[in-house]
Amino acid sequence: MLNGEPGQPIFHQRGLRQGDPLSPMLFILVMDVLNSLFTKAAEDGLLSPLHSIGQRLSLYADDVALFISSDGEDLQLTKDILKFFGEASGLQTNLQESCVIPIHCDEGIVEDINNTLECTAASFPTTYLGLPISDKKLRRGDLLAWIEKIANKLPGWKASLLTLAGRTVLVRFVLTAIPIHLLVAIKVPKWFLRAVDKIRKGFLWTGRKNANGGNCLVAWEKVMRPIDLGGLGIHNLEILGWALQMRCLWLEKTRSDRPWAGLQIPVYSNTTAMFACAITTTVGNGRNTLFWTDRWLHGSCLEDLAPNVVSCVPLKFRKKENSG
Amino acid sequence: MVTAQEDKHQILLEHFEGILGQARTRTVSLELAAFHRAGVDLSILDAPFSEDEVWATIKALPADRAPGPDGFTGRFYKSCWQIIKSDLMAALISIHQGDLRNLELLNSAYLTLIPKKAEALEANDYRPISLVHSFAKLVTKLLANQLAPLLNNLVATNQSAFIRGRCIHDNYMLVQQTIKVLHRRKISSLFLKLDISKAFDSVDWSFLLEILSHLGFGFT
Repeated sequence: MLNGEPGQPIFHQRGLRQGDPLSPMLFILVMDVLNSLFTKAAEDGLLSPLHSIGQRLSLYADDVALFISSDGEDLQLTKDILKFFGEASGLQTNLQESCVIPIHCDEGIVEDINNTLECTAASFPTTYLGLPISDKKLRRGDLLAWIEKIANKLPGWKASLLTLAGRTVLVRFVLTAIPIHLLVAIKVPKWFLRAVDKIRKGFLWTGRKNANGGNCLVAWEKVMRPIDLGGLGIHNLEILGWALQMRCLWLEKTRSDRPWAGLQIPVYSNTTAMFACAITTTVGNGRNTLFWTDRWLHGSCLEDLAPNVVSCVPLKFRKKENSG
Repeated sequence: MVTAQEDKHQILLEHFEGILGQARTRTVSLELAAFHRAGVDLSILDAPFSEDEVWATIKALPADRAPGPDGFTGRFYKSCWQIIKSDLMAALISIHQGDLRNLELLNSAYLTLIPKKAEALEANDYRPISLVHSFAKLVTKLLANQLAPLLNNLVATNQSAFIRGRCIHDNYMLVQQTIKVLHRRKISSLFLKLDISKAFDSVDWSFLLEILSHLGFGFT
């Protein structure tokens, strides 16, 4: 279509249509082959093993993350696998645009990466799926981008033309919604929550990033209460974060086919406590019941009934399944 | 700079012929049976569409999206369902039985261009939006609805996009915690974040068909 009139027909011979409900499913079936290729290579001992648990690949649509050993042969093989997959499927990996990060490698590896993969080595922290990842604890600078993202929303809104009720809606459903993706995934430090709160508070009362004490008519704690308790229904981010992380614990307990099986996940201690008191375990075949910590004995756990016995058991045994 | 309508046609035709119109010549093919998961029983997909299924899909169609070459919107299907029901079902059933006569009349689309930036001067600066026939939309939606519940068994757990019940955070957890473990145990390793160029646009159809038949999709 050009200026309202159709041109000559083009015959469609490759690619998948965007927006077609079927295309994404076909696409992931194609990507699954890449996963099988790497799994097979690892099973046959062509790729050196990394660690006993976990997967090598993480695929989310066209976002592929891959772990390999820093061995020179493994590098070459990985490159070949990607090349063959590219030739066969049309999905060429653009190595120049890809990013390689060494974990616990000596200096020589950087040269290997340059020579074999023809791409440059980067370092942590980086982002994956829009979230920061790092080998160490996340530092302040890694999360500042999120604060800016939230603060950048404000100038576009004509705050001076909005009523308090209008600003409340924006705070509740826009400013609060932005950090949710982050809150589900990581344990956010206190300063981060305070910084977000400052923006939310400032916008609610004055329409600006900052508000003085005098601008705030009601204490922030009261504002954050649910509407039936006299607040404005703005979520308390800290408690929201605890609640959002409950999901991880639930999946850890109930879904054995989760991709991160065997890996520890970081959750707030409050989440663990909340989870523990909300869940009781009914023992079936005992396979996924934790003997020491689950509440399977008339609604209480051994930790409550016999704290002295439990304290004699080393911590690492308590977390193990089937340890009873 | 091109201003005449015919010249514009020519430039855009060449551009999109280049992107969409050429099948790749493949130099390599993969022996899927040697390494890929075994197929599963997908005979459930061979059952013909039922009337309830079609109606449920039509109800879920967005009412007022831009129509394709036929000019029918979702609203038309919704309000005229009682009238067109028998004809529509007959068409769907014949498609299902592999009767593809004159399908090209229904399976075509308008490419409409939407500028990606304020001053779009080259063909590459436009995002092509294809407006397909409403009937083709309906058929793909029906197929997608049938396939969706089965995907869980067809795709490895470390891929979570587009599958109901899986979540983007599963992938994030996997990557972040694997990095932590490797770091803590001092295992020397590499983390690669791959960039696949033009992923959606470059899937090879013959490869896709090989995968589908390997997984047990029928050819009817």
